[in-house]
Amino acid sequence: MTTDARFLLAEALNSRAEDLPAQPDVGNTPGWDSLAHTRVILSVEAHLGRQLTTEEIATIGSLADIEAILGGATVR
Amino acid sequence: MLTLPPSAAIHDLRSGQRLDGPAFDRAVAARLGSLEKAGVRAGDRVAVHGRGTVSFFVDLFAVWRLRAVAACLSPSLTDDETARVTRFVGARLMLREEGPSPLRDVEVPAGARAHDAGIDGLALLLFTSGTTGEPKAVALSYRALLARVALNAAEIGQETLASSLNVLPVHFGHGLIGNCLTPLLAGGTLHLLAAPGLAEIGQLGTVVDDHAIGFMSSVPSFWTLAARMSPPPGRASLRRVHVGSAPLSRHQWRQVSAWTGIEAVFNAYGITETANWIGGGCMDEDGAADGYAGRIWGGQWAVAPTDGGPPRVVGEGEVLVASPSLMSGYFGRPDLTATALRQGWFRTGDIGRLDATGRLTITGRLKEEINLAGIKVHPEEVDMLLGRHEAVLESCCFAEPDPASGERVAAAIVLAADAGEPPDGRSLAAWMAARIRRECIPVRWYFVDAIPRSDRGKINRAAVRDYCQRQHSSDRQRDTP
Repeated sequence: MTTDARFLLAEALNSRAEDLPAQPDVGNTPGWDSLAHTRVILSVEAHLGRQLTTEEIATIGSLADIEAILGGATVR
Repeated sequence: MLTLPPSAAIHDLRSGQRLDGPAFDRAVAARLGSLEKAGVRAGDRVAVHGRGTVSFFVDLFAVWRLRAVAACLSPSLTDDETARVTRFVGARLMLREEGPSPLRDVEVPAGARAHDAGIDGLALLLFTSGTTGEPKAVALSYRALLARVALNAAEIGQETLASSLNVLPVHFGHGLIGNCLTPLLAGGTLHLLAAPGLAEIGQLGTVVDDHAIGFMSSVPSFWTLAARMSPPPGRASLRRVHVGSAPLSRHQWRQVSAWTGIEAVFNAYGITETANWIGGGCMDEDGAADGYAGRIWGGQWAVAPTDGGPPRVVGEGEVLVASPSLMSGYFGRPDLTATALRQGWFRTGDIGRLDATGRLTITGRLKEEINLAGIKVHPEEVDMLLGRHEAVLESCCFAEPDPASGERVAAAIVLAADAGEPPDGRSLAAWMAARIRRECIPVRWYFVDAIPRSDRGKINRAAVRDYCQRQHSSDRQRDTP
């Protein structure tokens, strides 16, 4: 199943959800550079409606981390 | 002519390599020997791979000690682009981290070797576009470089430059001249961390503290991430920070000021053609608004009214710059030089408003370049490459807003009727990847029946963008159940 967080990540990476690795993370995903990471953070913040803390940002390194932060928030 | 003072030092934070002024001088002398052995003489062009390490700076200063010309190349150029630009400038040699290598496919025509023209001889070539077509390289003389770093040092102050950090790429003026040559030639210590990765950005505050960094420069997008990822420094060493190469908003200024703990955060305005920063201002000054570029740092600026009248020192129009740090011209392109340099003024292509006290605010731009986090992409260059794809009848690239990089590259594509299996954006991007540097590859693709034109048949890229986004929006609405 394609999760909402996967769509968010694909958008941030200017990619398509189906083109991402099965378990995308910073190390295994082409294009996940500092600019893409900024887009991920800004997008997560937009969907949560608040700024992430430095500690929360430090945990983001994979799709699973994004899913954990978003929790039940609707992304699309 | 360009040598480091004994008090200067250069330190690579990744490798730990550190050379003080005398050690750097010895390394340059040794490198000089290998260049002479390779037949490099005064006035020759030497391509230098801009990787931002200690070895890169040794290469650069060795080229200059020979009074040769360093053509500084982006590390992201493809092999095709590298071959094109080195042929264009007639480079004899390529200097990379692993050492010098002759450029065998380059024929330097007889008589092409320039004479040593002393302080007005060419020192540096920086490419601003044209790696798929006719290259466009800004030619800076020794005089221009010396003038710029001296003016920068006078503005910033030697004490502030005693310990500086570079996080910028070094193949363009902002990183190379502003953030690296300025502190080095002012006798300071330069700490190198060019183009940091995510983990390194997360440690920025610690790096600033550990090395008592007093000065650094960067682009707005860097701070969007750094101010969120890294705890701020705690030892109050920072004295001054520049942000340039892309517009800085008042909101971003406050963000950077809060993280750094200082108000001396300058929105620095400059262009490669002026050898980087030409002026700047703080957003807390009276009347400062988004786009505020402050006062000029040596030289003069004016605006050319849209009605074609003479340059004015108060008013609004295209920003003109006169400075001792102006380029000599575009290498091998007298046509472009004649358009850009007129009666001692350089036409920036930016629209600005000058007030009665000489303070400039940028309000728009005439040029069509796309600004990706400070890296400039010329849409004509991307269109030229796309036009070579057999399935593309016509293309028009343009800027779209991007929350991280400010702008991103998008393309409207008209496919040829006999294209066969029509390519999608992904396959076009893959085709481009071997031919052009990554930042030029569009990340949004709009396939359209025709590129909209004005009633005079001209293409307005902003109008094409609006058309594509309207089409996309209506397509999405149709797709929504």
